[in-house]
Amino acid sequence: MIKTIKATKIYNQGRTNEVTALFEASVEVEKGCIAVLKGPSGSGKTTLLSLVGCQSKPNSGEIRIDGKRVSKLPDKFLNAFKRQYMGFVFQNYQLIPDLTVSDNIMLPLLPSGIVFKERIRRADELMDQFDLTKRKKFKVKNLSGGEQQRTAIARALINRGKILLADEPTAHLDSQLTDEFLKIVGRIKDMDYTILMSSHDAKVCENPLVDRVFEMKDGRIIQ
Amino acid sequence: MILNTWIVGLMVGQVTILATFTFCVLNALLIFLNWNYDSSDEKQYQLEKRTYLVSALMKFALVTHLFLFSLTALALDEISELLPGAMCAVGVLSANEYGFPYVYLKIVAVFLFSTWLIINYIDSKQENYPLVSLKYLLLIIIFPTIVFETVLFFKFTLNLDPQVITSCCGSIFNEKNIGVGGLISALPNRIALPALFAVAILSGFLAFSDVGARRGRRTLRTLEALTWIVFFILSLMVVISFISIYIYEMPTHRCPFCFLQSEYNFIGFPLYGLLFLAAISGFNRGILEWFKLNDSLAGVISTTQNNLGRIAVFSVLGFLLVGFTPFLVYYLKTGRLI
Repeated sequence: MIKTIKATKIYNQGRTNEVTALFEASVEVEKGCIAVLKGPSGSGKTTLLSLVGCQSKPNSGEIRIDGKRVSKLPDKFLNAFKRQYMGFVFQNYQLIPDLTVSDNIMLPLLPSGIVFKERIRRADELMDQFDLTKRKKFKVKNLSGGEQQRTAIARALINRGKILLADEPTAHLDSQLTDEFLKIVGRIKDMDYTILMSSHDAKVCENPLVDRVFEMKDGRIIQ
Repeated sequence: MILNTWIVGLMVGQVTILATFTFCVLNALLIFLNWNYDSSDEKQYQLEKRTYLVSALMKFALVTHLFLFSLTALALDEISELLPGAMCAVGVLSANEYGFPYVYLKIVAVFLFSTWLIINYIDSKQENYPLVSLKYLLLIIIFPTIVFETVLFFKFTLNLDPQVITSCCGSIFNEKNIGVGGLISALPNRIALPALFAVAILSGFLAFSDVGARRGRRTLRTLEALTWIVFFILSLMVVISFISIYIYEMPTHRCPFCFLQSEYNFIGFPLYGLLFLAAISGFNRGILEWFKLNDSLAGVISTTQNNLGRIAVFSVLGFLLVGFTPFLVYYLKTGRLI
């Protein structure tokens, strides 16, 4: 489902502050599996996630999603592909604090042309699934950390894509909330999603739900 | 040499277009020589990024070129006041030997550039840049057009001498004048008008005709493209020999530029605008057949051809409506022909 072949990403290329964030990283994640990118800060986890998530393009190498060479797609097609396939849970959730839970969840569907009724229906379904129905009309800034994270996950799933990417999803969570998050991840896996997360949390990396762990260091996959 | 605001403005515009074009052609050469879509190396990714830049810049340059074309018509009219003997743009263009060749080349350039823009549009509709090499080769091929156009433009404007008496449109587009203008003016309407309608019908017939074999279809569409060029030239002739006299309501005034002025409600702008739109759409509809290199491209191109066909038909109808309304109004008012 996800395959990167010798993907290299260099920031500020040709300038004095050039950084090789990722060097010839090759990973493969089968459909319906959970994989974790493990490594210290600055090891290239987020960069690899952003390449897989079509947020940026590699300087060399390939990114293939579901057999498609997404790293070669022109931006216009890449955006459409991203909307169709990807859900992203960011490290600090990136929710809009003054919008309600429901509005935040529905946001990714705005450019897709899906009618309002359907958007509402999908959001209600997800809020029900993630125990957010009671908070539906709450502004996100008034939610607890766990609720914010569940909102972010619901938002990532609303487009009914095939891949969920999560960048350090448990970085701000305590042990209990991490367990809760992993339970949710298990449910999402059962929905036939392929999940790629970055984490340096041993609780996540060693969880039996996780099928594959890629260890990273200095922009390279070392194991 | 006359350096008024209009000329300086046009000079800046022309130089900007040439500079942008030159930058793009240098990049186009680089892309053309090194393009390898299957490769995922650094060089190829850089070329893919570069192709966005070139496309965006070329769109800017070519659209600016089209815009400058209409601005040139206005500018020439304004400059005519500075040249003794000139009554409109025709007088300015005939002030030296570079004027009319400059306009003719500009018209050719508009057709070539429109083809490039349409190919670029089709290429951008595909995921794998199927026309990149072809479109950049075409860009390199049409580059001399803009160079010659710029040379002619500067030769023309820098050789405009306010001391030299020039001809007015009345003498150039006069049946007794020995020259292209005179020949067109003397063209009998009983030949020009049926010829125009016959070519229009032929274009329509070719557009609806189809053959199974790809080669045959290419020939057919090429013929269709050529008929649109003929239609364009004949239309210009009809504008001079027939339409103009009803716009001016004068049997001897056949200037193709005076009706761009406010006295005639700028009727020339919609008239020429629709004619160009029709001819460019029709011409490119035919030419595009050569770019159906695979099934995916064939699908997008067929859709584009249908859209261009619709644009061409509506533009022709618009052109005929705008062009023949003065004739109808005159005939209904007076009950006779000029």
